[in-house]
Amino acid sequence: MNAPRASESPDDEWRDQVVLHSLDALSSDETRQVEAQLAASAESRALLDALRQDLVALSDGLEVDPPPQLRDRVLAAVRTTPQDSPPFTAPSSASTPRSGTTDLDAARHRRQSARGAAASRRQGWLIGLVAAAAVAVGAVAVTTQWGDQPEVPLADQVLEADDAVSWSDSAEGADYTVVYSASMDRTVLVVENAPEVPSDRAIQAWLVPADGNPVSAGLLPDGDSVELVLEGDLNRAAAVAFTMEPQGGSTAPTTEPFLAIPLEG
Amino acid sequence: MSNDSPDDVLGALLRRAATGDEAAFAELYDAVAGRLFGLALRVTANRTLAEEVTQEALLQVWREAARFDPARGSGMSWMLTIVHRRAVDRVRSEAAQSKRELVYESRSAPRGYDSTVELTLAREVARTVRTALAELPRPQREAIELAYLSGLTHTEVSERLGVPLGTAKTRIRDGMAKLRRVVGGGEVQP
Repeated sequence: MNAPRASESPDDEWRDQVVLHSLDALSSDETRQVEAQLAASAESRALLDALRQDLVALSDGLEVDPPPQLRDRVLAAVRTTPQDSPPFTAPSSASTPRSGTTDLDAARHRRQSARGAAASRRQGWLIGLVAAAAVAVGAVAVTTQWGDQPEVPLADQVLEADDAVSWSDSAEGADYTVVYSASMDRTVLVVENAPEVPSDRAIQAWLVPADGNPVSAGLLPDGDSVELVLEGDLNRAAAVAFTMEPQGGSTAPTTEPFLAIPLEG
Repeated sequence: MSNDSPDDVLGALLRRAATGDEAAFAELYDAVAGRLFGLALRVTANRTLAEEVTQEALLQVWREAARFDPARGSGMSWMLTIVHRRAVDRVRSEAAQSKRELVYESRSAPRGYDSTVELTLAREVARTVRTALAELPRPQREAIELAYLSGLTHTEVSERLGVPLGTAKTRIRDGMAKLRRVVGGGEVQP
């Protein structure tokens, strides 16, 4: 009675979990775990999408006309319900992460020019010791620029580290590069052409473990070109995912990731 | 997905709705409300809950229309996923749970409940069985019906069927693989 199990890359148990998730037949804890792992696997998301497509057949023939008042209520509610802004769509399962030194070089280069422009404005900002470094064209300036003291910000040290490795992907025209230095044991996120975020929202980064719930890695600061020292241990993560959250962030993701960068290789 | 031509229409309506087009959304409502309400009613077995779930799901469709990605599946699939998740969440909330248990009890010994809903449900179960699920061997069909159409967790499915959890999972997995062959959708092999 077993189905053929050819060419599997996720193992049987994981596949079963995805099947049960497609039916909404997992407990809430199991659902959270599976969703976190799905964020890191485009292949599994494609499997889930295909299963959901098959399930359409199961409600074919169940149609029941709702009461006419429902139409009035829904259409009235729609008139006063704001819509989510278009830039934050769920990731396409076709999204292909790129990684390699080219992205790191590009990130370093872009960063240098952005930083030059910011520094030339002579606006120093003291943010916390291990705080977000926001380099935004025309807006906020660099961290730990304290008087003329030449202190190299942590983000720069990571980006310039000899052992820095990077993973990149883009979503809606924004480029996200995760840079990790093993010698410093720190991770920096560089976002170029960062999307505009409504004032009551924020983009939150998450470290997604292979097994377990996503852990917040920090909130992206405002600006088009952003650097952020990520919190948490990248070695325990299978992916870095990004979600839209209410301003101030959430303790667990409340929306589906619009981007997940698998930390492969 | 091209295997379901009305989806192109729904997908197009979703994309228009995503731009704030209320007329497109009204058209979408007329095209899918019966389908979404039918599924919500089957899962919740309660007309009031089903109406609430359908309303909430449709508002979510309106809010998140820009998230719909035709590369990932049809518009119908996307909307059914939303309504199913909400219906399941509702029946699993504690208050709803007890009501639903009542409905289950009354199926075997009908008294003092909404017989119209029950009749509708019985008819709908029969109709489903005549369609895609009918192609599945009975053990697989039952397991998938309990999971998807009755909104049970895999643990509850195994309890309801009186089989070990592993057996319930196997029936569901094999049933979904068979369903894939029946509906002939998707490119990913289960």
